[in-house]
Amino acid sequence: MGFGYLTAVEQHAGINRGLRAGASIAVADLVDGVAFGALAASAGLGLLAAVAMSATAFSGSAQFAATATLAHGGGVLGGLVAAAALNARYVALGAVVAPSLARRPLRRLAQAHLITDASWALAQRGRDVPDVQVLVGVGLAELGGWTVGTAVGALAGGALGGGARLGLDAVYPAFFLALLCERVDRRGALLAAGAGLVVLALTPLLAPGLPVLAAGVAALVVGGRRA
Amino acid sequence: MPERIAVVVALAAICLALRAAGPFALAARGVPDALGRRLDACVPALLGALVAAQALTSGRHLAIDARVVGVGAALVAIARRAPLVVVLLAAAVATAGVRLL
Repeated sequence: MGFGYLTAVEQHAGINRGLRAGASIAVADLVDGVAFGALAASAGLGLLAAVAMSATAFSGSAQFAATATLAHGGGVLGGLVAAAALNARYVALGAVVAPSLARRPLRRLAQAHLITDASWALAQRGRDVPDVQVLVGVGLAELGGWTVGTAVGALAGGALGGGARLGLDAVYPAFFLALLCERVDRRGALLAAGAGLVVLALTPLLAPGLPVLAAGVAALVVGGRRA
Repeated sequence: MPERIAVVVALAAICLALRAAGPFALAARGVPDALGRRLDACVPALLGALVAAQALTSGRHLAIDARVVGVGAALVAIARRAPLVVVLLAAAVATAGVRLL
């Protein structure tokens, strides 16, 4: 079922419905975007680079992971691999909505870019087949909020300067801890604690960035077992 | 500067590739169960690893400093179900406060 199936008016109404459904999430994204923008500025990413990152990567966890390595120097590759692994869930989300997306490649790619946890979840709420217009509407609202927030934060953060003095270096672990607590179950808590210990044990032995990578690989290996 | 631009471009490529993988490559088959389970295990592990690395290490050393207080403040905010931005602010303010002392 591609876009050709619907009239332009029906599409428009669906996207509007998605924009409305996504409005409150977009406000939250805007505020979080300000926080990310301020961090990005203190990590030395300019306004343009920070906004470009938010518009193209469009993923808080990936952007915090990559920016943290820029802020602390070294281990950029490790940061990128961590960002990729943290967002591997998009492969699964994308596979679920795939049959509903547009057939034309460019349009399909644009729709895929708007897949977020929230747009994906809202698009399937109360239906058997995902509603692509809702996915697009929510995704656009979130993309707008996140990108505008980043610009505001980058401007404000650039004016403030001095990341460590403002305690911005503690914002990174706080962010990852918040994500962890959102989705943690018993098994997840054990995995997180184990990975944390692996990092602490390996830190004196390996270059910065590699301990996180090693913990991720260990989880891939151990994770094959049933809970 | 070039390193930063490379990171922005690489991150864009990574995120778009991950989002496009399902719609373009796995549309018919879906993600195999065994791989899905392994990837699911990766998320909490990586988050735990990142918390440890960002809160308790500095370069190649273990370090207990003002960040620990910030993370503690964040944990209190999380336990009180505060919005994400309040959690982040709590961490920054507590850490900056300790450094002022």
